Amino acid sequence: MTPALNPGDYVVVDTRAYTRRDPAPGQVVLASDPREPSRMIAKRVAGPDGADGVVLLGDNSQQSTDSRTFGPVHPGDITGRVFWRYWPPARFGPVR
Amino acid sequence: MSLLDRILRPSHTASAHCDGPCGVYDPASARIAAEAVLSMAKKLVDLPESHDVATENTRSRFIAIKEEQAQVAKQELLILWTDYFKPPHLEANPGLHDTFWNAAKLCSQNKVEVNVDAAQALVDTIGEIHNIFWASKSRDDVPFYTAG
Repeated sequence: MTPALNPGDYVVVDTRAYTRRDPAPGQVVLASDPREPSRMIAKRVAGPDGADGVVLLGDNSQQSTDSRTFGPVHPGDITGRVFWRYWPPARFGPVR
Repeated sequence: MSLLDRILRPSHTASAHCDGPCGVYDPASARIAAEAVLSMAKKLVDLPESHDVATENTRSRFIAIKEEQAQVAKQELLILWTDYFKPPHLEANPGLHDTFWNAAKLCSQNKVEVNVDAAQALVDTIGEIHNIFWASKSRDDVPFYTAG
């Protein structure tokens, strides 16, 4: 997910972002990996997939494991929106 | 872990990359870090003896980068050693564990000392690992090279 997210970035997740609205394309979300639900992943929303699924893609398509591998993610498996980075200080600011 | 880190550290960890399923490994990342260590060791040895502020600042920066890149090299080596290499590789390369252990020890030695020979030995050992790694993938088209 570089440069949007780098290894070791500390971020804040809005867990209520999608209680009233759906994940919008372009937003970075925290979700549980459909293949291994205890594992959390951060990916970007590409768009809806039919009625009941969200396609998540990594920013580096060559290196990323994402919906192309594990398919659309159930909206219930999306924990929230990754919206703010607070560490490192040089990169403090919104996650875009 | 420092107090600051304890306060700041998030409660959960998420993967934004693909450790595990992606299967993309390359000793090049360790080699680049080791080359940075070698470069810093050489520059430290060549630095003038003077103790003016500018020289001391430069010296501290070289030391900091040497320390940091030695740690990066060690981490990259550990990923290769523990994630990529599997028991069948060990059968084909009985010296595998010793080679990685030596490489990791050289990373530590390069932190403790300013030692151009040890830094060169680290680069050379990563060259050995490069050869074992690409041979394990039946690739003979990836020569070991250095950027420096």
